[in-house]
Amino acid sequence: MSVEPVLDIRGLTVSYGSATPVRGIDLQVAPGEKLGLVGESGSGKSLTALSVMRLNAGARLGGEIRFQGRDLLALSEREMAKLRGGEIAMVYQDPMSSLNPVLTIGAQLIEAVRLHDRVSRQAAHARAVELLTDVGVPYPEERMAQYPHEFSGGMRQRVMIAMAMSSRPKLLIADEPTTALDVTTQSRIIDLLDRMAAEYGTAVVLITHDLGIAAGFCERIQVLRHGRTVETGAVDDVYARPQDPYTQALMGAVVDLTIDVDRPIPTAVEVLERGTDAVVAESLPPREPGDVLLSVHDVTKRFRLGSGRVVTAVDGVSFDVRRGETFGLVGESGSGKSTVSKAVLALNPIDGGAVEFDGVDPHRTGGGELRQLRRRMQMVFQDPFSALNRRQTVSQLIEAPLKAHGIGTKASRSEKVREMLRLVGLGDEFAERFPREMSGGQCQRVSIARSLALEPDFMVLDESVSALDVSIQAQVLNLLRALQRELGLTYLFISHDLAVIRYMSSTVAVMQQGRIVEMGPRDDLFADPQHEYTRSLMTAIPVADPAQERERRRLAAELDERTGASTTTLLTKGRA
Amino acid sequence: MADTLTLVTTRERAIRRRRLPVLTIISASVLGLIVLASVLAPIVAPYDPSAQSPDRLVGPSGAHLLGTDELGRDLLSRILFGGQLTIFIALGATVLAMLLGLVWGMAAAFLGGWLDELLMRLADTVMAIPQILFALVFVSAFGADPVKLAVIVGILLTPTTARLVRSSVLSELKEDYFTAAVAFGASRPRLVLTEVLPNVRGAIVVQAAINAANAILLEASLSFVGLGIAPPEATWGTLVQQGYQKMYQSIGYVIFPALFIFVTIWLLNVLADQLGAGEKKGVR
Repeated sequence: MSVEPVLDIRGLTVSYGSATPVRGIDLQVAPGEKLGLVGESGSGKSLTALSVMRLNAGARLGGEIRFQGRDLLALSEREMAKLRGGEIAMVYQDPMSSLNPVLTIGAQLIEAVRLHDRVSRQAAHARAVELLTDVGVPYPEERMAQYPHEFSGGMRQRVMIAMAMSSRPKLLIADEPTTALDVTTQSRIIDLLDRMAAEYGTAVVLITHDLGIAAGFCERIQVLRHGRTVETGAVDDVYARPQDPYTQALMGAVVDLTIDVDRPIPTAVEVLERGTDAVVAESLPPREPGDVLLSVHDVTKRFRLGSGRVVTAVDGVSFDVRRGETFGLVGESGSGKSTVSKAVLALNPIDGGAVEFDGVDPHRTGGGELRQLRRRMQMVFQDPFSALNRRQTVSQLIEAPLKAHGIGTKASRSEKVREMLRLVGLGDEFAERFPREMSGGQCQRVSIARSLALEPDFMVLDESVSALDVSIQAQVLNLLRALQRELGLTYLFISHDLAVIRYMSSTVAVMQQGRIVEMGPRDDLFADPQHEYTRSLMTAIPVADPAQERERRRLAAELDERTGASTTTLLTKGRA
Repeated sequence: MADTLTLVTTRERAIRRRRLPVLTIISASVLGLIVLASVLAPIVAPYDPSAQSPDRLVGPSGAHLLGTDELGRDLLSRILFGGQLTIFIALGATVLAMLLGLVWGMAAAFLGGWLDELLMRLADTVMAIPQILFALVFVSAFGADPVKLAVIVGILLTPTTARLVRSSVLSELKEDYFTAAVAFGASRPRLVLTEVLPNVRGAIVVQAAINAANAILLEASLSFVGLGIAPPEATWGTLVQQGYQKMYQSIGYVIFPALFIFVTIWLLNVLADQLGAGEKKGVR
């Protein structure tokens, strides 16, 4: 590097007690450079970023962090506070928790401006309005007086970026800035980061687990694993010719719209760790779907808010799921897909319509009959930690449904537990563990094992892989497909991720604002989407290939321009 | 990233669980000592608590470690025997408050709707009545023996317990594991007993320690305004009340029983804090 780097980290270690999650990371960022820091949870990417801000309380830091030549680890807390939000700014994953809920957006922006520029209140106000305009917040003057809760997730993230940019920082650290956002909003936030960085000449470190996002945004990427750097290089080189086996594995496990739906996803990570032969990519024979097992007819669900206002979360939704198939339901947050899943299983009452499962409406039965029906329909949740009772061991967890229905003896149940564990690829040694002693992926397997214990015909998978890392997501998806073939299961697969839906489903329905806007066989729907919303969802999905991803972003921006969702037209139309 | 952090705390937690914090051990053993000395009062007390001697209202000495009262009875022996009654009332009241509070709070949380509303407004009502007034009416109607005092103190502690149980249970009902249990067809008793109860057990244990401390305090307050156990029987509360009247002749008479009350309550609170902190660490 010929120019002196803005940020120069040498041999950084971070330790808590006896654990050392970051074990010697070197990282350099040139002025104005866009570096992607990618890795799975536990790789140390966020800890590295927090160390630069010196915000990881209770940690011991080792090594050297130089910012424009100054050793950050040697600075006093006061000097550090001056740098934070000044020359180094940070944008976090969850904009809600980074904004003060009791102050107006304007007050917080003005404070941010005046913290680093000694200007009058009026001047700061004008600058704040200018910043909001810059980041594409519509009606900036009016919105200055609003509170964070009156902003959507995407708008809040725009405010966070405005705040970060208010001091014209030399370095911006963006820690998973789009993870909590819908796909369609995601691209716009990344575009915005791109534009702001160019305008202010700011170097950006983008921390992400999404290889697609990194591909389109970054010039260089650095791959972390277990607190060490695995590989670093220009983005085009690393994606085209990953050198390290782990990077290759990571790239291979990405599910995007280009993968072959007839083959298992190569989860080379497993191969890496177990050292066995390469994954056999045998083709999956398609199952012939049978007769209709579940029929949802004109289901409507309303929620009464505290203010007495009524929100229609699901508005006349109808679809049929046939035996042995996977029905994919895709939509962004708030589209009503989870409400549909709870309605199907009669976990919440509905306000209209009917559900028919193998000839019986779970909403019109009760007591023992409903409990018997529940044996045949199971659910796997999004958050595997919340879905498992933290006081129970794995064997108690898997046994619980059997006990609830008084099935088997103690001995036969423990045999069943072992069988279920094997089925989901976990060894007997897991039987006595508690959820907190397992990773998210392992917990999700236990959750799947529990729902299979009653030998159901039908499973609702509600965002069941969304909280998992790329490599683990691939494993769970493969597992679900293998189980379906082996046991003849029928799935209702719910996700916000169109790529995952495409990989899993034979029939797909797209939900928007409580209604199904498009539905059809997978191949037809993806080949020729009819509804504008489906098209915008499809163009919003990042592709893990730098050239393709840059092209996709260009096309998406054009589409935005035409449909009136771009930053400039936002000013007048007010959409997120 | 969260995973790394959880891993770290998991390890720390494992260590913490094997080795109880020093403060917990100290407070629990001192508390145990006080309880044991009271229970074993017939063996460890130096004198018969009702045996009188000519040395009236004397200060601490070799013969009477904590001095004597107005009838020349040994104060230490009176405190240890009084401890039996105090502990009986505190324990009885706590058990009663926990049982009633658990049923009350659980019912409110699980039933929900207007029943929840009714049960909680009822709790508000009980809490709105001044405790001393409530006790006054009760004692004048039924008299004050140890069992009755335990019942009245227990009733006074029930509403706060019910509220705590309700809010702990409600936050568990929001977790997916509960929905999962409903979805696999668990019956109502199963949902309550095997799924939810073990998860609120920690909060309940902490509340029990706080309740025991409050029971001792309440009993002492009632005794102080003359609603306590009638002589010759004594509790720490009645001893303080009698000692207070002789404060100018012998300061030790009021100080020592008060000290026992103070130390016991303080230790119970420390223990509750420690258990509470351990509970938070112990789960995720």
